[in-house]
Amino acid sequence: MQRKLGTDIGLTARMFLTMFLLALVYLLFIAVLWRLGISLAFLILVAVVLLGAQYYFSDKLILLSLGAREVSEQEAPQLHEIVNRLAQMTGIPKPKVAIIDSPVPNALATGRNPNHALVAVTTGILNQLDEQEMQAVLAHELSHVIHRDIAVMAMASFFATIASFIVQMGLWGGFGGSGDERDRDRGGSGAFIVVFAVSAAVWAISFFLIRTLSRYREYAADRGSAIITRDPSRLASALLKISGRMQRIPDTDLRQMQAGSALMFFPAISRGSLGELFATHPSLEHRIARLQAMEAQLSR
Amino acid sequence: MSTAAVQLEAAAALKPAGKAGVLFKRLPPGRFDQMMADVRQLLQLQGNDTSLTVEEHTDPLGFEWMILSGGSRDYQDALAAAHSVGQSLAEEGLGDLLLACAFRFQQDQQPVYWIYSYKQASFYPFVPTGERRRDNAEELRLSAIAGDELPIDSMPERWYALWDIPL
Repeated sequence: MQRKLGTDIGLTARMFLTMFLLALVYLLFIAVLWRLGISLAFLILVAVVLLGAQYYFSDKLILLSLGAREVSEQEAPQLHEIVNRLAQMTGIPKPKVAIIDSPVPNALATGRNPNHALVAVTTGILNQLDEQEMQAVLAHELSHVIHRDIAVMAMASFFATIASFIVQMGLWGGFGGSGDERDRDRGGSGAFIVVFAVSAAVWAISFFLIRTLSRYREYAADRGSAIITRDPSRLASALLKISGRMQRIPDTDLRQMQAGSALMFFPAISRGSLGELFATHPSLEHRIARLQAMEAQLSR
Repeated sequence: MSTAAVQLEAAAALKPAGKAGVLFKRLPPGRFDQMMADVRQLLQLQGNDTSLTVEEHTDPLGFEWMILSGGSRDYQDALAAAHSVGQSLAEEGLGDLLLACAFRFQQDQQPVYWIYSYKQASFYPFVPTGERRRDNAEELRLSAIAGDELPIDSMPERWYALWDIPL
């Protein structure tokens, strides 16, 4: 039986299209700012400092903001063993391992590059998944590290951050009033309104594009996990288990369901709805469907 | 079912175990016995065409099973029998009392079941691994493999377990 997964050309193409559109929006944004003679230097300096800090300290920021605690091999031998195995399989340095004390099942990866990566899991996910499912989830997180998604997303949101910064300054009335001589020549507050409107538009458009990009990165990481573990169904099983009670495969017996069937109802779950546009992660149905397609491909 | 069985045997080493069971919720008194007689008569009519045998079983939860053993390897005649039972009950307006039909397969030494839900008119896999434990990943894998040939229930939250199937 041949077990093989090629690259997803469609996904790669859509990812590049999204990044291209994002770059286009940002170029227009810079052009408008430059045309109106706004002091870009200051704004870029602020954004560079903010993003640079986020980019450079992301592993430590996560540790701080989520209460993640780095754990030693003695403290969590099983978890370290899985991460170690995956790192060896993929040929990246072993990331740091942290645990977040939370009942909500979740896992995440951070760090600016594979040499400074950190994977964190909650105690909730450790309790709910078996070892193989945990491995599938960690392979997904390691795929984010390998794909340098943290850096990609930081760069993608670079100008969106500048734009939102301008919008915020505008909302606080922080600039426009006391412009220098040159600004006043160009019509001061009129220019400000244009900048404010353009910034708001840039922020709004990039909001959707960045989220679209993020969803593609998730699909790519799911795919990465499937390629590393050769077991897409394990990740699908893990995703269903951590999705909360509603969508998981039940342990309840069909015969017991019959006894109280009058009380049973299925809430109308919106499938692939407009809401997904706002989400950083694709819907569970879409992710499972893609993993199922990969499994069918593997079994051929 | 037969093309799916071929696919499942090739990709997941799943072998039909020649046992299928139709599960009923409490039928009116005497109705189950009558149905058993009907099916036996049907099988006799088919004579040498089928080696399918039929037995009855009441499980500890009080549900009745019509257990079909032997027959063709691809479950074609078991399916036909299950279908005729379903039709006659539906004609009497008792279709709701027909819960599911389970088909047993073997994977190495482990039993694996495909459950047909009459209500959803679709199949789902059930891989019990121990005391009220099931292998979700394997179930998802099997559903992916058989997805092109079998109508599979697209909502895994409806893949109800059937613990201790008497098959």
